[in-house]
Amino acid sequence: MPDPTLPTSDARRPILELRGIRKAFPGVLALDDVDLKVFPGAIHSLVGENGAGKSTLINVMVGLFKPDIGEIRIDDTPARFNQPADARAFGIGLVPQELNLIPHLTVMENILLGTTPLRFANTAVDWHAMRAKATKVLELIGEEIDLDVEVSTLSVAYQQLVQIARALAQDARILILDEPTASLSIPEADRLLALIEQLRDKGCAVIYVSHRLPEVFRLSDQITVMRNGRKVALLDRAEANEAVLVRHMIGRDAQQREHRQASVRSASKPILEVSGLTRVGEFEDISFSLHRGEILGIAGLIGAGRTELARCIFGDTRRSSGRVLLEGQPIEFRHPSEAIGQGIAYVPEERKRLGIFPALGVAENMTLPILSRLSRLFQIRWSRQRSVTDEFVGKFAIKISSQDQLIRNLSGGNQQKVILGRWLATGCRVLLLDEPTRGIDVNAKFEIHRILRELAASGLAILVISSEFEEVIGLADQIIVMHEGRLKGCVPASEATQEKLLTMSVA
Amino acid sequence: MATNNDRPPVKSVLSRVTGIKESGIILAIILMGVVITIANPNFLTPYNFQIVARQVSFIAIVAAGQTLVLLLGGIDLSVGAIAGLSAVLGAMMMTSGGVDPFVSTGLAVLFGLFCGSINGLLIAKLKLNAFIVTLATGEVFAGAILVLTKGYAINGIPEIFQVLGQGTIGPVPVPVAIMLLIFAILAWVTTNTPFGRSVFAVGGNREASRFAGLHSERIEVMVYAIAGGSAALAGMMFVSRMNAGQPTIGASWLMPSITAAIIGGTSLSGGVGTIFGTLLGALFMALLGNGIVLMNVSSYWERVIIGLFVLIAVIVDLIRRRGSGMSMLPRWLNFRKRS
Repeated sequence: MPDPTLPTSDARRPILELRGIRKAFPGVLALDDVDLKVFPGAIHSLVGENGAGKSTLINVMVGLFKPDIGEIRIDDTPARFNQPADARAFGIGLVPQELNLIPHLTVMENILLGTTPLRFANTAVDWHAMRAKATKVLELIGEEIDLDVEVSTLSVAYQQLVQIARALAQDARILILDEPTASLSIPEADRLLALIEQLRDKGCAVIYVSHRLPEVFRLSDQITVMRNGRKVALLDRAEANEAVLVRHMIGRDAQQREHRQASVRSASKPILEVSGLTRVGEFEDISFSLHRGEILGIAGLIGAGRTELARCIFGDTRRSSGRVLLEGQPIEFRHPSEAIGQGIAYVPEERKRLGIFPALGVAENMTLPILSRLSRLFQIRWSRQRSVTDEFVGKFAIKISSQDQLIRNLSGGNQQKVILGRWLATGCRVLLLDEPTRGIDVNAKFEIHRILRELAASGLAILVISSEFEEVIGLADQIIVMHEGRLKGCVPASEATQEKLLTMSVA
Repeated sequence: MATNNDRPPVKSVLSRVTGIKESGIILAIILMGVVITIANPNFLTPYNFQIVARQVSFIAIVAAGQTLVLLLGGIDLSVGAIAGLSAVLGAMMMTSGGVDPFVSTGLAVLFGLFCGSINGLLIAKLKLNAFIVTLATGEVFAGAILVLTKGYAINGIPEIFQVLGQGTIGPVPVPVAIMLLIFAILAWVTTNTPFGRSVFAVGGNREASRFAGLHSERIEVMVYAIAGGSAALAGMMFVSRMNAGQPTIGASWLMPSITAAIIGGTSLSGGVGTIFGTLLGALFMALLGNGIVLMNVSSYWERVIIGLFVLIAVIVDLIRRRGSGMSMLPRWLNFRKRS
């Protein structure tokens, strides 16, 4: 790594400096007068809600977007990036959130993609040099990865390391990491953070983008908070705490958690009763019961088997053993349509991939499962579709320009509301939600929470899977915690704290 | 909440069937009509229109079925072979088998549905790649034609059967009437029925369709069956037209069936397109062929020009949706997503 580590002092020269960056897209001012200074041997975090402009800023730094106004300076001299290769040449390396590895190439080829050593007048790959170079880069990282396996066989955590190694192989002095821990388990994330600290100690400048505030506090020397395309705060680690950051991020004091008075778990029979449910390799011996008007949270870490559990109840997969009772009747579904017919609905995580039909309109997205019910002699009765759609658009205050507007043009929060409407239109009695507010901005999140509480109050039974402990605590009446496919316990929300849930989730 | 006040008037059933964004291709057809008319006034005669319409009807029916498959995000490379095999079987039934020619036609269409559902089952249940499955079954069907006929045409088609391919209803040739009927039905099905809308949903996002409770596999089998059935119908009409069950029936229908759909605005990646657009696409291709003859251009140019128009159609489509995040690549060319 170039650049010797300098002692911490205000007189240091920034290695990368952005001055007054402004970038507009048709109809949106994505970045407005943003400044950023990054120092060698230091970690600078970038936080903000979704849509605050972090991604645009990253794209400016790596040469994907050209700023309309503003200056990028590297080592105190102005730099112009016409294409990503220019930024790379200046030593800027990006580890994107969506990894861009080539799945069927080996680790070695992926690390040296774009910098492959050549010989015979650049006509052939120099495999020996390649191996030597890849080994050297991996030594820098301090991880041993088999150079000859296809990266598609690696876990996400290792794929991430390969991606970091690629940036280092390109002699990156400034490393930008975009939500690197989003899909990692806690121990994996921990190792990654340690690696980032190690790279910092070797003199690398790091720009760290994350929603996970504890990581930000652990790593950062400085924190820039963005909101609506503007830099709203630049904080030193010493002056930053969660309340301050959240206030800057959402532009007001964090909403006090409105605790619902714990609804009385009546002596009435539960609507959904799961006992000893097992699917080999995914989850084991899960039992719980869900009452009308109750919100049951399932907390746990990614990979704890919560999604698999919900999908099994929904009939997407078959169980190995165990029983599920719906209003006292045993149920077992072969296809999700049977579950829907019985009044069970499931809102999957990954809304874009599994939830919406991007090329269809709002009304069709909302009524797809009930089209036959809306039809007479195979002819869909459009007026009925309109009135169903109108009902939920009004009820949930969904912002659309027309019912035929393509759903992909809505914001994440509005998309999720359409999907909620889709299930309520089926007249479901049990609603299974998988990470219902992931990737949704803070305000829409509060709204969805409010909607869910109202639905529960009106008698719906709701099961919420969430990796955000805060969300589960704020939303649920009862919380069950899963760890590695097993039930670790059940706590009433009133007694739950984030620490408690975390402890149960990891041990 | 700007929702309820400014919404456009409710669309009627008919406007859903016809009134979608095919303005580009309509404009191109009109433009071409004008150019050809100026070059040769014989273009604008009822007789010429009859010829063009009759020519287009066979391939257009195949293209209608193909469009459904493309909407689903698949592709059917076996339609031509299914048309040929069904036609040869139907012709054999009504000649050496002595079956009533119209009953034979019905049976041939059933056979086409059967062939299509084999494709569908292999693709949906075994999750095989549509391109490869239909490439293989297409070879099997095409080979079966040669096994059955040994390369000779089947002659002795009953005279009464000629009405299907050569008759007229008033000024309208029977094959044209059948084509219009098929298009009307399929256009209604795709735009106004739960099944049709499900085809768009599955084609647009197969994974999500399962979680929305759609039986995507069932839908897929049905769509491939429809493609096979419509190909078989076109094959039988061609038997009637030629008075013979020729082993070459359908051999040149595959590419035009896809081309018509693409020119008509159907996306190879699934979920986007219209049946009506395919009719216009087929019409466009037929007029182009007719115009080339009428304008005394060597007919060798026809394929060159059609190929160029496909490129134009695809590029226009790309520009129209650049930035909207929709992939132009068909599903069967995409890498499987890693997770």
